[in-house]
Amino acid sequence: MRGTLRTPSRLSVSVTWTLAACGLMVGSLASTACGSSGDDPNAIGGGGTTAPGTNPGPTGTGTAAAPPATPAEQVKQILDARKADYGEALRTASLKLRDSLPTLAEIKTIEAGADDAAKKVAYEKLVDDMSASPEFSKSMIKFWKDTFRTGQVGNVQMGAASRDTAATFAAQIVVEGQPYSNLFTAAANTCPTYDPMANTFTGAACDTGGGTAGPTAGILTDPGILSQYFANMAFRRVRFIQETFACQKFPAETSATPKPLGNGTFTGAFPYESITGKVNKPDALIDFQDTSAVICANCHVNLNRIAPMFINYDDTGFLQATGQVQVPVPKNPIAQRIDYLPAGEGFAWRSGKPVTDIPSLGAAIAADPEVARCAVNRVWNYALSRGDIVNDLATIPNAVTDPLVKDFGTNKQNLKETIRAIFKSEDFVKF
Amino acid sequence: MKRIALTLIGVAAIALGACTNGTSDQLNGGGGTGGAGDPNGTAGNENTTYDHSNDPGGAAPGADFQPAEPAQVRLVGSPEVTSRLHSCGKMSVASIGSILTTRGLTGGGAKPMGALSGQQIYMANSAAPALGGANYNGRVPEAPFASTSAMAKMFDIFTMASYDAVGANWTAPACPGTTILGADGKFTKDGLTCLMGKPAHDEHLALANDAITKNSTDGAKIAIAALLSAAHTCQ
Repeated sequence: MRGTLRTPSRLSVSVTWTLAACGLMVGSLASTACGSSGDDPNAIGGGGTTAPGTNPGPTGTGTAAAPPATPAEQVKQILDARKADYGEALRTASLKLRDSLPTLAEIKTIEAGADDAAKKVAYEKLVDDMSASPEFSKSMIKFWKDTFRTGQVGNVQMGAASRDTAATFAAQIVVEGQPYSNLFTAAANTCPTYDPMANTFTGAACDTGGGTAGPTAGILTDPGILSQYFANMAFRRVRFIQETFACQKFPAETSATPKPLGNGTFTGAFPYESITGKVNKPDALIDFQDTSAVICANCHVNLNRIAPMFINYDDTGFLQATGQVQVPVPKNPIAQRIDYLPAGEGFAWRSGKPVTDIPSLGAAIAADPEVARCAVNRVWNYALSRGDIVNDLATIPNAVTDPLVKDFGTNKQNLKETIRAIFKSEDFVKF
Repeated sequence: MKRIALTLIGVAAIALGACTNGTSDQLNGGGGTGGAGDPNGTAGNENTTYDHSNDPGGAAPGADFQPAEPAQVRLVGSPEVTSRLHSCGKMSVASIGSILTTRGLTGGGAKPMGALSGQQIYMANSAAPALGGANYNGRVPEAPFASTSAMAKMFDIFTMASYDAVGANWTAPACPGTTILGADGKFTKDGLTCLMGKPAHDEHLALANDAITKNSTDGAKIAIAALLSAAHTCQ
């Protein structure tokens, strides 16, 4: 390493050392930076570096051990090889809960603990403090902006709505410990503002712009969101709802009795004929019953029961008296209800969950247990840096978050409590 | 010789396979059966923006579920195991800014003439995109994982921030009363702890001081840049 160093030069900026030198230094320090000493399983020369799945001994030292008899035992063996590192946990918790490193005093509070039990107490107190700090509010706003992929860039333009309000409303629900279901059912003050100096949220009605007054249903009627996801036939708005709050791409649900159809298999939970297509409407603008390539109906039996509720919101997200989204065919006609569903077919969130308008859709979403699980799983992935549950395919086996989902239900869907629980969980503090 | 002949035959076969449309330089439409002109096609054309992925796997039922390969399970663990382990998330753009300000890396050190400080690099307009910042207008959230460009940009920032940390007047708002270099010119454990945001250990200290021993001019800066980069590789 030494031989690669150059003679320092005043004119050089950062070329006084070579990348090779730094690379080696980073490499060696990376080992240490990610490790500790003593009981740290990642310590240099210590145990715990054995790759998962190679059946380390109970102490993580690679000692030969009897191979696990069952997959469950294997899981237990690997997980038991981790050890609590409250110093490391504090660092990552602080970065996630308030976007900054812990102070030296906080780090020393953990270090001062005589044993793991004392360190745990100190750590959990700090998690509580962090989740009560003003910085937590800002972190939550950022979390929701990233989750919604929506945020105001620059100043709000004339005639447009702020794209910050949805994330701010979601953050307010978390920070104030309101039921998560309010995100879909709140009938007022769903476009709050946040004062970072005072760390206060102030509820406000959403801007109606040049549109007409309409129903309010949490973020489902947030003009910033509706504007962000404006697209042909309002399908992008529905996809946003599905992927963000149900944590799953379309198809949203599948039938227990799939049927071979065309070049594929129809798996929808509603009848194939229950949406508009050439079979029941020969002049349909879009043939949702097409089976020549993919089975459109697999997704559209659900999509078409939600999208028509959003067709009167224009590109700025404001409600108008007439349809505002187009059908992507020549001449781009404005979408009508008949373009989605035959006469007599009603709206629905899911099979057996009929709805009539956006507020009842919000109620159905709020009551869906998969939506509650999705909220918990999203926070879990955030805490453990696992990426987006849909885009990054960071799915989680139900067994992992079942206890948290159960507590979430009994906690009146207080997501802040779930966040605290996850950051204090055994999985979070072990490395 | 036989191997060469087989190779040539293979290349020729691939070349012929790629030219099934004769001399046409048009791309295949990708529509159901016959490209853009196919009434049953699902690819958009100049008359319609109606456009669908024709990947049969794209909308197939259960397409999201892909059972883990047994070999992968042995290597990285089962889905339940990996779900319970920390992954390596990217430091958020805001967090990097916070590190610079709370750790006293705000450009106060003596740098080579004309050089930007770590904070100036961070504040430049080009920094946030390189660091994986969000682009909400494009419906893109902040990247959860670091790209090569993000790692390189972080290293640029931390390299130049090291000039601030070795300055005689260095103070960190989050670590009052702490010095990075002691009176003996060696690193202090508290100083390294402050920079890393977690307890420094003897190994950190030994490696960092070794850099000073090997290069009395720039060793401290090298050590700090490397330490910051390593410690903050993951969130």
